[in-house]
Amino acid sequence: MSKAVLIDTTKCIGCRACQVACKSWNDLKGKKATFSETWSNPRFLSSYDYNRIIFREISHPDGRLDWYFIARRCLHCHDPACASACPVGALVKMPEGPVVYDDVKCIGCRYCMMACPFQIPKFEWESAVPLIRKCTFCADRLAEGLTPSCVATCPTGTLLFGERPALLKEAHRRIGAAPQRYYPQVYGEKTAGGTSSLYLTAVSFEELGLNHRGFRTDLGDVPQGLYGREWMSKVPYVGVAVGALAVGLHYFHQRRAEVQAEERKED
Amino acid sequence: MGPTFGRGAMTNHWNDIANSDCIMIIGCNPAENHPISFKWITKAMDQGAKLIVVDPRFTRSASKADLFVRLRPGTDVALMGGLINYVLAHNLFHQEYVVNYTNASFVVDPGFSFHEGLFTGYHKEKQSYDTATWDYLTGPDGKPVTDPTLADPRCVFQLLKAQYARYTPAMVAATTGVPQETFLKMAALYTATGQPGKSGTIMYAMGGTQHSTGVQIIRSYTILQQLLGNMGLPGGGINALRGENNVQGSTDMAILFHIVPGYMAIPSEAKHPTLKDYLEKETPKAGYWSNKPKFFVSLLKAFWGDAAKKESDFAYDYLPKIGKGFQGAGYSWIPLFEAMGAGTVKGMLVWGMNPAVSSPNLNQTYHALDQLDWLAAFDLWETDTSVFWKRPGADPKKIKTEVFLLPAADSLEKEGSASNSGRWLQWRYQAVQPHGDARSDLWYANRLGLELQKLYKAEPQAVFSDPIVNLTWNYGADPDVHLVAKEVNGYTVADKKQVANFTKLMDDGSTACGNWIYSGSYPGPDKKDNLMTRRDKKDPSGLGLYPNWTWAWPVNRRIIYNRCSADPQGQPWSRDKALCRWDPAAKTWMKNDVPDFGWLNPKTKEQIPPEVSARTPFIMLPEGKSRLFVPQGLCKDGPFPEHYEALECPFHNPMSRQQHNPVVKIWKSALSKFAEVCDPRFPIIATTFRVTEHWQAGAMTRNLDWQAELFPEMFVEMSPALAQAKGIKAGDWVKVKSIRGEVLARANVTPRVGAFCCGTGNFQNTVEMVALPWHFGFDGLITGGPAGNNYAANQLAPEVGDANTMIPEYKAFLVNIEKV
Amino acid sequence: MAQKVEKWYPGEGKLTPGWTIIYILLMLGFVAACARLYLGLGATTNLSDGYPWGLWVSFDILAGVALAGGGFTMAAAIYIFNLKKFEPLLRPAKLSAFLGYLMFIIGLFFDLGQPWRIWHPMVMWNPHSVLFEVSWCVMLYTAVLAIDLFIIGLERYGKESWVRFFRDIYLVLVVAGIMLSTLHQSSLGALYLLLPEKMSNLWATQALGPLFFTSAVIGGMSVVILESLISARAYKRQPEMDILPDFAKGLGIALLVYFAMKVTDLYARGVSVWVWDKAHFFFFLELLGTVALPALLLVYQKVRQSTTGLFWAAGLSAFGVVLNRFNVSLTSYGGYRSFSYFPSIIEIILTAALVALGIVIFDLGRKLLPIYKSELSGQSR
Ligand SMILES: Nc1nc2c(c(=O)[nH]1)N[C@H]1C(S)=C(S)[C@@H](COP(=O)(O)OP(=O)(O)OC[C@H]3O[C@@H](n4cnc5c(=O)[nH]c(N)nc54)[C@H](O)[C@@H]3O)O[C@H]1N2
Ligand SMILES: Nc1nc2c(c(=O)[nH]1)N[C@H]1C(S)=C(S)[C@@H](COP(=O)(O)OP(=O)(O)OC[C@H]3O[C@@H](n4cnc5c(=O)[nH]c(N)nc54)[C@H](O)[C@@H]3O)O[C@H]1N2
Ligand code: SF4
Ligand code: SF4
Ligand code: SF4
Ligand code: SF4
Ligand code: SF4
Ligand SMILES: [Mo]
Repeated sequence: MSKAVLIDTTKCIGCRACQVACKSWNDLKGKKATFSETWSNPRFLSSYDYNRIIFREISHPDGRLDWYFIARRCLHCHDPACASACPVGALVKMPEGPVVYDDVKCIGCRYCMMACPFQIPKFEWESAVPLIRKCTFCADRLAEGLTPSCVATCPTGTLLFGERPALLKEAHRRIGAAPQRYYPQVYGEKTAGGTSSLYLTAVSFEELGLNHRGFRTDLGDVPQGLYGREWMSKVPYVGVAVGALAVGLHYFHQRRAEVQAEERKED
Repeated sequence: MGPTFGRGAMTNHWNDIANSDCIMIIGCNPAENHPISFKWITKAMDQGAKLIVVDPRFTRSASKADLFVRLRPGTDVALMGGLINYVLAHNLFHQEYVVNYTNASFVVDPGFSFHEGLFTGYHKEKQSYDTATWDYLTGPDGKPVTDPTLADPRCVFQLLKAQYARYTPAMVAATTGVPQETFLKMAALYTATGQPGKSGTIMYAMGGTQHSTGVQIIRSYTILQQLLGNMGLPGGGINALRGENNVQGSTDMAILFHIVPGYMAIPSEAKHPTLKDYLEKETPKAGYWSNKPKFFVSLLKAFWGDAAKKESDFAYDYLPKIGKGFQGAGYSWIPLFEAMGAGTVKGMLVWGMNPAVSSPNLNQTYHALDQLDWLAAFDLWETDTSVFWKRPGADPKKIKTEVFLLPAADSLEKEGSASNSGRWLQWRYQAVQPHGDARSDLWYANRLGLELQKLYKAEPQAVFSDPIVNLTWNYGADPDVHLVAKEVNGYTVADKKQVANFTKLMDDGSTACGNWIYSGSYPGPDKKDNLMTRRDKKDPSGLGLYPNWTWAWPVNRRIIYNRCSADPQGQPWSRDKALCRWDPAAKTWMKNDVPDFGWLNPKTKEQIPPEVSARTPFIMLPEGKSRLFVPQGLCKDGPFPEHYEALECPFHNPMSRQQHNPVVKIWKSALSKFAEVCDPRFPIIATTFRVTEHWQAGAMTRNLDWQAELFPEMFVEMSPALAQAKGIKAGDWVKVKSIRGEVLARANVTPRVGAFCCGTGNFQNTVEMVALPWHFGFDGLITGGPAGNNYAANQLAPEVGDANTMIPEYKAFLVNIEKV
Repeated sequence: MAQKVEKWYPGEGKLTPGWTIIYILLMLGFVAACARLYLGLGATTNLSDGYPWGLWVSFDILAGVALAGGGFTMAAAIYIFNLKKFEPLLRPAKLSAFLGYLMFIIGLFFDLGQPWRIWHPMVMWNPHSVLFEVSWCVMLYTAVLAIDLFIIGLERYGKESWVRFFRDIYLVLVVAGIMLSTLHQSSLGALYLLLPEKMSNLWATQALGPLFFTSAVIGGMSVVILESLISARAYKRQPEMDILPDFAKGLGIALLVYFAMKVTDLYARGVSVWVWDKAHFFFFLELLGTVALPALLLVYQKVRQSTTGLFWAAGLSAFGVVLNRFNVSLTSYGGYRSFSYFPSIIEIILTAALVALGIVIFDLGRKLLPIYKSELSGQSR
């Protein structure tokens, strides 16, 4: 049941149709911009841009040039930091895959932005009543039996939508069939406890210089929701323990004081 | 391609690219300009195909290539010449194919020769060739002499060999700047498709054509493909990627100055004073074009109906003719604007174009627009052209031109067909009502026609009013696009019944047909007979032919020249890529595609054996074979492509003493100036290009905020070395200057472009290249930078056309660059 | 036992320079608050997608609550550890704690994108969220403090029967307060457990919870001392120098424990501290200047017994707690390339105004409620 998008960046031609399709479906306006030397524009994800193509030029000593295009958007983690952070449960991982957001619940505390290791949730800074914005996995389209808007638009098949296990199988098949073409890892298979956006790249995210820019490779396989949950699982016990201890100590000290007072009297 | 194969269109089609074993992208950038084609390229690559990208710039297409070849702009002929030489020298050509399906074996007139960059018959003063010797030697039977052994030193094959022996890897390197090592890698990779059963395709577009040698560049691609036996096969062919979504339709319908619908020449006053002259001179004796009178007369019938009587030469006189009246020399883009500038042409309808950005040498264009009495622009929105009088630096008070802006409905707001590159005519429906007061282009054209008829009818003294008054113009006040489509398909005059296809057309006036190549697209009276609306996704052959998806011209053939996909005995070169196969036992053809050859005797209803069709696989050419050697001056600059330098060039031609295309057309007016060869004032090569994110002259994308934010400002790609030498940092505003004008741009410092080291011996030199997108201008939501400037790259480009097509040389000229 | 309220309004009746500043700040703050609500966060703060949390979170929320730790610390000392002699410090501590939490709530109100939804966590639950827990604890604890002050108020206005009723259940309140405080003080640190990868490893540790808790104890104790000293001067009272030195000993011990915890944690995680950059500057400033130094100072009896010494030691450690909160939330936070953050003038004004508001309310509280020993009725607590 769990859907995912396999992003085989080796097939991406950087046409940015997905970027525009995303804006189109989500009714996001374009912003005044200036020329970006890398061609990536807008330069950051924002409440206007849930999806963005990063252009990466890598010159090799032998004069060869590589030019990579990497679509950046929410990874739709299985156990998302954002959802575990949100105090009101406005962000929720659906069993179908998407991590969705509820406009009506959100209080605008931005803890999800702090918590997401991929810096995905963005805030409507220009609004007086701002909400959080990020890729929705086009959950509204999925509900209608459609594929995400970006996927439907991608001309090259870089974006492949389907059942996650099947996509993983396909990803590994591709790596196996053309090992020279791929970095031997499906980013998102285990990363951060697994995500619903899965990436195949030609080289590692370190080599792309993106490991600190949204494609962290230092998270290991730890589900990102774990940290908060671990803490919260201790909270009731700590609470009860502190309470009990407090009561206990109170009576203990009171008793001791009484005894001391008695003793003093006896003196 | 027309002179080589008989038709000028993409030989295969988009989906078919997936069938290729090796794809050469040369002179185009499909990842950016035809992104959807990469669906098929990607599919082919997934199946093991190799991708070669040849471009002066490292493009988004190049990023996907197995091999990227960086060549100097305008030197494709030299590179191809090198490959041709490689194929011939290493005997890598597809022998059986070449002997049977090309004119390799034809013996050439003994008077024909080539020396120092010139073919026989050159007149220096007239800047043109006498092409009498550029022909086949004919035998006593009047038929061309051939030598199937290809041994005759005067046969096309041997002449070809001699012509290209000069294109050694060293010369290729000296001319194109491609290192020998890279060249050899490329040669090995691509020529592997010469093996029977393998197919390689060439994709090209404006990088190949927008040169003063454009036609010869494309010719050089065709020669390579013929030698490797890549024509007519799935995954092969030469795929000319058309630009605008319906530009194929516009050329098919002859929105051009030199033809009438269906690729028939526009009559010339001198050559064709009467219909008889026209038909005699323009109709070849052999090949399918021998039916031209049927198509031409049916066209006249469609134009003028009852007024087109046999007695009056079917109203042939009504047709405008080159050399008569206003037609003058035939107005292609450059002469048209020169004529406006000179005051000869006084008014203009700008219909879905934006020349104030797209024309070469814009300062001349603006001068021309300033001289007009009136200008009517039909467009979706205000464009740089409709407000040309507001351009930076112009004084609106001094411009007398009266300008009308007529709101046009966009493609989603109207119904009709669009013909894609693959010759598919796809019907589109209206999705929404036109916005505001907008009307469809058909509506405007129809109204214009009706008004003109009314005016001419009301004015008895009007000069030469018959062609207009008598024009068949019966589409209704609110025109019905189906009536147009049906007329284009053709009908019998007597009962107004739609014809099945062009084989039913007659030259006696009994049929009318708006465009013979489209005949068969709408063969019945009903909307359901409109084959352009078909949407059947079945693909029985598995080759992506989808025979019942819409309709392709001619007669729904998906891959033209498909006889060549099988050997002379009718057996496909490749087992799993069979378009047709002769079953010798059953004496029948197995057909996956509509055969592009005679396979059925219409009288006896017997199937024609393969040996017969193997003699003439190129049915549109009189000799029936594709042309390595183009006879009769059909290409004005030579029967074989030869490398010449761009008109503005920082190198002396390493191949010969002939620097430029000897028959190039130059307009020298006050504003049309050129830098000299190796001009020290302009030491940098410039080329112009497109990006995915913008569309053409920009009106359609610079006005949309989503598109605008992707590339918000004009930029110029330059190498880090050049930037350093000029003290320019990434993102700086710089000024790029040519002898004609200048433009501001942001520096995009990137190793995607670089210098070229070319020339031989003492003349060796290293020259930098910069590249500019040409989408920006001065009007719209974004223009390319701060207001008050004009960011159109075409302020730099020269007014020089290819000798055959007059396409401007947008892709190679000289500039200098400085920091601002 | 009703007391006469001489001046119900804040201040001394005449405009001293101090109160002038406070009034000006309040006015500016009001304007800033209106601007913030009307124009939105983006327009009035320097927050961005790269730095979603800024001054208000660091100071109003994190530091404010930590400094308000005096309430529960004192309650624990007096009721749980039965250190009755510190009783005179209790009420001011409660009042200032209440103010700290009020500041948290007001700060949060302005910091939220959708302030009027501040109540959402009450009905929309995400029991996995640390922030959810913090909201509940803060809410409940503020309620506890409010009840507590209410009781004092009852006492002040002579509602003896009520007071007696509350005194009977008072232990419940105390225990609840301690429980809630322990949880949310540590959870405020645990908030940052979710983003270890974005933080400098000088501060990113699994031990953030206990460290925050301990430092909140320090913050609370320091504020109790400072409050005693400052209010004594402000209200021309005698500081409680009979008990403060002993109390300061406690603070010294807390500082030493905290120091040990921090060093052990750094050592256990193998953090290399010997680097010289901005982060390390603030790190050393925090660890040595505001933990080790006051701890060291407090070792000396002379220091403990002088008001100046106490002032400096407590001041340093209180500042240390604030610095720690800033360090954890801002210095340590490796926002986003090409983003930087420095609070906007409106953020600063609003924060300053909140502090001013705190002073005003404290002043009112002092006037309206029996807070100080001299005013203690004796029976009630
Ligand atoms: N997004 C988008 N798509 C478009 C268009 C658009 O404006 N925007 N325009 C449409 C139209 S009308 C057309 S005609 C097509 C044009 O499609 P293309 O021909 O692909 O367009 P260009 O970018 O003009 O040129 C292609 C490449 O040719 C290279 N080039 C320059 N000089 C030479 C040369 O001498 N030899 C070779 N081999 N290459 C050279 C350039 O570096 C450039 O990368 O695109 C169509 N598609
Ligand atoms: N330097 C340089 N210059 C070039 C080129 C180059 O490569 N380099 N390429 C050349 C090429 S290949 C081409 S094709 C030309 C293109 O040059 P143009 O044809 O002048 O440019 P477009 O922007 O395509 O103009 C199309 C206009 O039609 C409008 N339009 C869109 N849909 C409709 C419709 O349904 N009805 C009507 N009436 N209008 C509509 C659009 O808003 C737009 O203004 O530019 C040429 N110029
Ligand atoms: S990438 Fe970030 S925003 Fe997206 S699901 Fe994961 S944690 Fe949440
Ligand atoms: S900003 Fe909204 S979605 Fe994000 S954590 Fe806070 S309440 Fe949840
Ligand atoms: S899934 Fe939808 S929201 Fe997400 S990037 Fe694609 S189009 Fe945008
Ligand atoms: S649409 Fe597909 S090919 Fe184009 S940029 Fe997006 S992912 Fe890449
Ligand atoms: S014409 Fe449309 S579908 Fe075709 S490549 Fe261009 S944008 Fe894509
Ligand atoms: Mo074009």
